[in-house]
Amino acid sequence: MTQEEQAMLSERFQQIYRQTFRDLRRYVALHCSDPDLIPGLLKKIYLEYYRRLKKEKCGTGNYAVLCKIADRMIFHFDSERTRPRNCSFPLHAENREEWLPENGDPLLQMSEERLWQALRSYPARTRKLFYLCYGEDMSPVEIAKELKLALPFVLQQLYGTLAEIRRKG
Amino acid sequence: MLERKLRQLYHGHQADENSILQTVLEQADREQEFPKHRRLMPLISILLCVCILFLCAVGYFFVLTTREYQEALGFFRENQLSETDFSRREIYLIWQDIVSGTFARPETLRLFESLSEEVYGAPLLSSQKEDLLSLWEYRKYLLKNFGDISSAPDMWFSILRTAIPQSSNFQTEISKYKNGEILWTSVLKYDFQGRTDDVAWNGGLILAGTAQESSSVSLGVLVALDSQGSVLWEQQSGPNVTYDKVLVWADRVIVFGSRYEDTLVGGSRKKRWYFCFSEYDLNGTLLNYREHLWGGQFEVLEGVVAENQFFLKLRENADASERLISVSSSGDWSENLQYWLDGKCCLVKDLLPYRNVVYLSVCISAYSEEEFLRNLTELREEYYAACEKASSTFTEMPEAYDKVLCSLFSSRFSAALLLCDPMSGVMKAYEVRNASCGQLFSYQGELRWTVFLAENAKNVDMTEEYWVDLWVKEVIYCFDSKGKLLLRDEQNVRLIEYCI
Repeated sequence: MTQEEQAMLSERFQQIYRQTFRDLRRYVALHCSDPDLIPGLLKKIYLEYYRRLKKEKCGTGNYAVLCKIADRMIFHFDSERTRPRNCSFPLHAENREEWLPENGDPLLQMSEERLWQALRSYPARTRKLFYLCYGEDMSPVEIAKELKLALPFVLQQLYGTLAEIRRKG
Repeated sequence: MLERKLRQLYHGHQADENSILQTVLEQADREQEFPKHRRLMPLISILLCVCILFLCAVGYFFVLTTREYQEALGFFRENQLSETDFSRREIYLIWQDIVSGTFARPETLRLFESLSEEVYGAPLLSSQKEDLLSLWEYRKYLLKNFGDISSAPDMWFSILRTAIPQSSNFQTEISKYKNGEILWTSVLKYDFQGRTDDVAWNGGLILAGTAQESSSVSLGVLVALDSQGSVLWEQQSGPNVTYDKVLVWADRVIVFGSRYEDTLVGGSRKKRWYFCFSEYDLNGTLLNYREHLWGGQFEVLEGVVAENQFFLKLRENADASERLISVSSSGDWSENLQYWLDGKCCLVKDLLPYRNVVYLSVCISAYSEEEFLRNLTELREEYYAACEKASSTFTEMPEAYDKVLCSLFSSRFSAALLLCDPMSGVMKAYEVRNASCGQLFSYQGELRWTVFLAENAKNVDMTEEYWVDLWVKEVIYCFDSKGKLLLRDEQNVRLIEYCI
């Protein structure tokens, strides 16, 4: 491949990358088990896509191809891949009265670093919901729909976890 | 407020779009540098697997071949075949060929040529499968029975007539020897007169003979001894019976002999002789007894069983002439000396016991008597017609006719020397194609066999009968005590007149 062709390929790839990155990141976040795996998976997916692009085996539907590659990569590299189910989630702070603090939220006073460490101490499935909610800006209703979970469970995971962190200080 | 804080927190820790792009592009560039290597890796792996598989297959084949070669070598040594004349592969091929019974490979033929020289001292007569098989079986028999140079049997029996102490009567002592040492001696009360015949059986012995009951009465006696010398059972015949020959065949004990009765013919006493056939089971129970009136006194010299038929050589005491008869398994005798071997009709010409086995001289018919006569008649008519056409006499038949006539006679029979062993059955020891055979005799320890080869034939025209003068050459085949052909001695040409 000549340098000119190489440059053209790179340019085309970058264009597709920019167009699809956010959607694909959300797709991977929804389908993988642990949000920590997302950067690694994305690298693998785009690298494979680049190879295909080079061999001109990508056809026209770029995002569809990327989703197919993502499915395969998640299948191969995410050992914990399973569709989340209600029963597999640990329940945090079941008492709903704790979910909304009455006088000032102690979490607001908590440093970002500490809050991040506290959130990371939770299981991957809980962290995934937090990531979808605050990282991908999905509402609890959207998350429940996409992951085929009951809304109260999503709410319980999100607010119950925060209440627990709050209580633990 | 909290929600905003959390969003900021998560957005800050999110997978960075630019850094991922950078990483992907860098890695893609690195792959660009070594594309061939990546492409060749699966190919190299496949080639490596193929190589490993090939090496495994070669190793397995090598081990298998080595093992089979060792088996072939064992077979060669067991059968005392020369390994030096053949390569490793040839040994293996010959082994396969013989074991499978194919006898078709040229290497096998080469081996059999040397075997023929070894056994017969003559080149291989025929490379047909059945002839090779017959030579193989015969050689195996020779190796088994005469392979040992001493060739003396390691076990034998002695039968002695001894005087009873302080008495004028006699008894019979039977001793069994092994490697020169006496194992046991058994004493029988019978005073056997003349010749006895015995057959080793189950480590013991079955003895048939004629015991003197009184000065004028003799009895046929059959005694079975076990391997320890104890008498298992004994059977006595009626008076005036002579037991000459005993054979054990198919769980039966067959005894041949004679019986006489005194008759008054025209005021003078005369003896009337009968041929006797007695069949016992192995427990000594008489199963069948047959007797046939005979012309005069006789003695059964030898007997052999071949294909459910007994062939006996008898000596007529009146003129000391010998004759052959055949006896069926049910005891009926006949002068028809034919029997069937491998689907071919065999005509027994002579039999001779020689070194614990009995040899049979037989003519094997290439085609039936009817077919021979039909061919002869057709040939005769054809040439008679030719003579009439040429207006010549029948006595002036062309030489070509004589040659065809001679070949017709010579191709009628094959002479075969058969070996009858009670243990191994009947097997062909030697065969001469296009020949007939005659007498068997032993001379100076050698087995001699007379074979006739048709040399010439001449039509003799008679008004009523059809005569052919046949000139045959007599050839004596001499075999040593181990059954190997020593000599082929050509004798004079004889004239035989053949009449239809």
